[in-house]
Amino acid sequence: MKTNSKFLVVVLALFSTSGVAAQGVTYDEGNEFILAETKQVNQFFRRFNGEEDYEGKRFSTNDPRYQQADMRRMYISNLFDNLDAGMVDSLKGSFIYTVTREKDPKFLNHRRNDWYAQLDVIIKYEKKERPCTLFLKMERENMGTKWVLANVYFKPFITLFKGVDFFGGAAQASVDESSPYLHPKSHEINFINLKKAFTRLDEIEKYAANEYNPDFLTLFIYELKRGNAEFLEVKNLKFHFFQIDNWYFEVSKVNRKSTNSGWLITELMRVAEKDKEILRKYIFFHENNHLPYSP
Amino acid sequence: MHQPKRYLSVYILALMALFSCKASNQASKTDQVDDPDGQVISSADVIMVDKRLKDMLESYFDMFSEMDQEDTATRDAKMAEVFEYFNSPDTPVFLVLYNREGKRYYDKPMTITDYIYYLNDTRQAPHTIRTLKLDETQTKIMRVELAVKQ
Amino acid sequence: MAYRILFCLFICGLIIVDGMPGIAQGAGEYFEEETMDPDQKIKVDSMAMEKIRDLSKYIGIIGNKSTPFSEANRVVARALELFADGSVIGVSTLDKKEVKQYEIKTYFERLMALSYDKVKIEWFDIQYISDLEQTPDGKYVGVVTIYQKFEGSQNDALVYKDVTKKDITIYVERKMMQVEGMDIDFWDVLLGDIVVSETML
Repeated sequence: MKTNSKFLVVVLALFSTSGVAAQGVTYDEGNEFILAETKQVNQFFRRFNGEEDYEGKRFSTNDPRYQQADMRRMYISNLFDNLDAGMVDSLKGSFIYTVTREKDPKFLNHRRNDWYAQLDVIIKYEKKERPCTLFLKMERENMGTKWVLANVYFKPFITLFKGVDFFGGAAQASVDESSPYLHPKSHEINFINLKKAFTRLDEIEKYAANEYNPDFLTLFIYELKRGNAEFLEVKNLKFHFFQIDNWYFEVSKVNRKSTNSGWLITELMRVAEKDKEILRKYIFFHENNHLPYSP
Repeated sequence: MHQPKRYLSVYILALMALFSCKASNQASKTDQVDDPDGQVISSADVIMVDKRLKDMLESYFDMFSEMDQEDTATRDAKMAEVFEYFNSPDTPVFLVLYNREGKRYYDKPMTITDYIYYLNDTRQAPHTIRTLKLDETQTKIMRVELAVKQ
Repeated sequence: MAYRILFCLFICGLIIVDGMPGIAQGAGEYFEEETMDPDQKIKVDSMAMEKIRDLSKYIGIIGNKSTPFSEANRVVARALELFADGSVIGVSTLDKKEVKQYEIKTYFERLMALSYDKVKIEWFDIQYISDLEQTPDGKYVGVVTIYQKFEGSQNDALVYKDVTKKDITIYVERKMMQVEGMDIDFWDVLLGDIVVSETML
């Protein structure tokens, strides 16, 4: 299979030249790389779905090549970062088989809200430049669509709320014997014990209701509005796709002089539908998925 | 190892076939204006194009597109000359992009002054005159309608 | 790769409880969208490409030292008319250490100040035009990707050269105007924010 991918690259290169000759256009050296590059995320979708020709021209929906399975197999096999040895050929093969099966093929749809953009950004917070991660998803408004903020990961917020387990441990933690609480007769004493409670800053969230869940997006917006945080720039961008049943993949930009470049699949995992919510939380909240933060 | 290679060669053949027939059905859609009625507009107050006036203006258009860009004095003099034919330097110019179900769709309207600058700046004269509307005295142009050259 | 292993380890050790803290999610909600018909799209695409070609010609004039100052100013004004208000241009280099962002007007002013004797902009034969998507306010938006070779020379010697990929936002809006009692139905195509990145070529 390893030879396969190399072979495919050759095939793709061949295509570019044959396509060129047919059009009577002479390309400069290096243009075959641009032609092969998945130049926009839009092109990633259209290649994945088999909705355009090799030069990027849209097929009309009644064109016999539109979403044609063999063509999709070829396109998708070159939509993986082929230098990433972590994605084994058997896994990729199984994925390609699943999405291009004649009986029940799977397509991507950018107008769904089950894919996320992850932006590693830099913000100025308390006069220092800090990494921060924004997650955006698609939302409909009127007849159109837009990207909206779904979540924010910012280390100082996480650190402040270390008592909260985003992965489901919160309920367990609350039965811990040492957890502070406001006793059930506090109302009889005018809640005079609140003052004491509010000095225990480390554990203050333990006085909150079971359903309490810190919302970092609110905090982020609050800090921006207060002028404590200032947005500086986007450092990196990638996408998380949960659209294909029982699969997850990540798409990021691979910049290299190669016929396997541009927006490519850089992670591929089998994930049961029931586990996808956990994976989403992992991506949103786990520090392994974020730029390192040095205080 | 043999199996996948054979599989691939089937791909190649199939795909060669797919791409080689990348055919004219795409190309035919890119025609700029699909209005077969040429220069006739069936509105009472619009006259059909005076062939001589049309040819003369189009040759001016070609001239502006080829004129030396650094020689702005000549360009400005020629512009003043052309404006003589127009109601004003702000006479509107409309570019028809396409016709659909009897309706015309245009590019953003501009003035004749801007249009001449456009020809000169972009070094091209890609349009042909469809109609010219003259004022009551039948001497000055009040409105130009263009189409993309076929 | 590390990611994958860590997540697998993580998922193994996890006890799933009901009512976990969550993020509001509507899993896989699909939005149907009104789209332009394919023929219209093709026309609008070619209109957008025309505007981009015009822009590149304007840049050639603005960056050319022999262009008189007043002419350059006039062309800057024309070039600005191609853009939606507030458009910016972000320029990134291969090392990605710094992404400079300019107001489009500032970008043209800088170009004027560079004063090459000659500016040559060559187009690659490849471009990519995204689908047009409808925005909440009823406009359409798309992105056109082009590749260009820029050469600036002084005294017949090449002093600056680069190959860049340009991702250019396009806004398309259908508008109506009345001229002498006649309805003019037109497509207003405006350029928006641009990202310029150096390529590996």
